[in-house]
Amino acid sequence: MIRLYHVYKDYDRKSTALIDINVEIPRGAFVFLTGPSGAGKTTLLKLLFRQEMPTRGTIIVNGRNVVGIPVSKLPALRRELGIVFQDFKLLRHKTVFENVSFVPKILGVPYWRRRTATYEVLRLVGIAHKMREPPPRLSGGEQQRVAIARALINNPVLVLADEPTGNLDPELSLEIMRILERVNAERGTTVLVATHDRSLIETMGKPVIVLDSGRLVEYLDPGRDSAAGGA
Amino acid sequence: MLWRAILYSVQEGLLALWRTKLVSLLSVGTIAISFAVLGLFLLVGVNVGALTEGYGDGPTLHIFLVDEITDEQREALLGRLRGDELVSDVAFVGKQEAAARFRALFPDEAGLLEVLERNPLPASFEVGLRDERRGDAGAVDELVDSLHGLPGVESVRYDRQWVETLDAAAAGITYAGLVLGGLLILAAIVTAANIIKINIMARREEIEIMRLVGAEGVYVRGPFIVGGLVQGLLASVLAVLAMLAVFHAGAAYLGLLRIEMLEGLRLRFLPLWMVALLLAGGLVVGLLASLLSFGRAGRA
Repeated sequence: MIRLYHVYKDYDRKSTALIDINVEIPRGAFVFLTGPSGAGKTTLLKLLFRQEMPTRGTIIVNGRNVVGIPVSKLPALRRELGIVFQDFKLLRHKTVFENVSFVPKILGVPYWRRRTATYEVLRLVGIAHKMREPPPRLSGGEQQRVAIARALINNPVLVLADEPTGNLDPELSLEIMRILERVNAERGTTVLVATHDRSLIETMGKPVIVLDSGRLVEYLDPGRDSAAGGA
Repeated sequence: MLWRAILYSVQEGLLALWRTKLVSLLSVGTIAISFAVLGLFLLVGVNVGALTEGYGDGPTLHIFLVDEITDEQREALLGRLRGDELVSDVAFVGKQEAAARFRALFPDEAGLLEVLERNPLPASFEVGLRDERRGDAGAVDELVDSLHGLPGVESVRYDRQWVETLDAAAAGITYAGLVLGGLLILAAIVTAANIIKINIMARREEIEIMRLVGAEGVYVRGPFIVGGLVQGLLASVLAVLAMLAVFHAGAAYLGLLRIEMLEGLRLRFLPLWMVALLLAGGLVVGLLASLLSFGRAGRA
């Protein structure tokens, strides 16, 4: 699903965000991306949906060479992805329903189909009862559910979540992760979550990519490691 | 797919205009004033030009005769005129007819003729010129010069200069309108573009989200383009309505003045093609403003 070959990202001569990243994430995986602040987590995610361009290297997402893709084809790439941001990026003057149905609307999906799809995805993340509310009237956890619903409504093959629980308490964080885990298990959606929350990662027991100062220092897969350890 | 994008753009474009109605009105007003100025100049130009059209077949050559002219001199002059290749027709206006025309034209002053012992108005020949030769100013001047000093001729008057002056004034007013209106419209485009740009900046977050979720460019730019088009069209419609109001008020005012020179002149509004051009111009201005603003702010 995701392959990075010798990926570098320099913002300027003095500031290097990523150094020689080589990694492969298989289809249907649920992987955490972790590391201290400034390790390059957000930069790596931005490279995957081409909000940033790498200085060097090759990035393949869902069979597409993200680096070589022309600007005119970017919307098509992004429509295959669901992106969740730490700051939610919800439209304040629109309701929860409008925020979520906004995606299929701008993709030209007819009203009756997007109404059904929106309701279903809101139910999946447990926020359907607040669909007429505008985001400012919701709690942080509720807003993040809406953001996840928006990321999922288009049935993406890959969900990229950048610190989706950064502003939430541990209990809510785990709830959000369980939603993403369910989507991963039920829909087979590949999920890549950037977080610095070590306890959350340990609780979830999923594969982890560890970045430090722009370098990939570890790729831990508890399932594989325990299987290997047990053998 | 495209019609959905257009429908979305129209809905969102109108909604955005409504949300920012005060700022949008400012933009519409600026464009409308520019078009109204241009239109009013065109309107004056069209009507000044219409003054010269009152001549129908064009200006007439008037040859005023001395009272003492003999029949032979008159016949010789008539023969001379009819034999000229420039002349299409000749009509004789006797002293009595000249007096009758004066009374009809200036009824309030008709008493003057009664006071005088003898009719002071001269007899004259009214000479029409051939259409195809009328533009030959040299030949016409030559004819006029040759008539001066002929026996029985008191004076010769040809209205070409006056008509030419009016035509030049009409053209001058139209060109001045085009230049001034053009400059104002340029300023209006910049103003409208800046206002749309403010709108884009205010919705920057929404645009960013749209791009991140994979919206095609037509969905991102469409509402702003529709907004620009609607503002431009609304502005040009307002300008045409304002011009209509000024036109009717002006016509009524001139009617009250009862200026003799304008008797018989029918004031006219801009021809339909000019009105259509102004409306289309409004659309173009709106489109340019939105493209210009998006070119800068949309990529931000």
